[in-house]
Amino acid sequence: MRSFVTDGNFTADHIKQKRDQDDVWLSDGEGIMTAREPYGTHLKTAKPPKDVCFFCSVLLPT
Amino acid sequence: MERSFRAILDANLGSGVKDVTGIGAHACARHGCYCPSSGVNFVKGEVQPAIDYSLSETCKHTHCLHGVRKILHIYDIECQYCKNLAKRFAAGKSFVSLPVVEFEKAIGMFHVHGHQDSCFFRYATTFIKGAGMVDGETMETNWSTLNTVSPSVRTATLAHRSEVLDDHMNDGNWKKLVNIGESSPVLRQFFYL
Repeated sequence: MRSFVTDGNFTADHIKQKRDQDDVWLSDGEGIMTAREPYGTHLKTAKPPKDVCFFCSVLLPT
Repeated sequence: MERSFRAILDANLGSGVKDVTGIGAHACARHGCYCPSSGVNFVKGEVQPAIDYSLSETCKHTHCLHGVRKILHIYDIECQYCKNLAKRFAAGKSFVSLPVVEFEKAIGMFHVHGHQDSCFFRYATTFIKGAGMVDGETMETNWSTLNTVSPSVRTATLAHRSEVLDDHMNDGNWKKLVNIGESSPVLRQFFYL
């Protein structure tokens, strides 16, 4: 059995750049961080998770 | 099932100044090495699709597509995350299809105590057959070392940031590899380390 653990980290954030089109990508998706273009298209196409209304969640517990 | 977590609420807030609000990654639950190509940037409110993508890349790049029968997936908010997971993977075009018959879901042994009591019996790793003695909190130790470097690339370019994070995560993996002998009690006894 393969065991994986996952988590998010909100310390590693990033401030917007003025000209991000001038970036030079020496390596992209060759290390731990994933390749950005397929990931970007994924984020555009993926549906965001449905938000559950707070009152519905209280009144109609599943 | 838990309905609200501080982590989810904070992540969904988003920010006008930031283009990346955080990162997510997968690691081996036993050794704590980062999985290649699993590091994803969180754009505001996109935590679940990001982790989905990270899981897909993990399965692809750690060769889980053939010959592996079971995967144990440990996440702090697994009780929410695993709802419709199969459906999301079936619908997503950019995903690999989940390769295994059995997909065990678990919550780390620290976070599970913050959940409801029912989550403890459903998702604690101690009750999962074949899981071994894993705590499922390895990612937190990884982040604590990465937190010393990630604020310094907050204002760097995205390309530079990605490289620096790559370098430090790879270095973490390398150090775990070369120091694995010292941490093994069996080897320590044998070599008198």
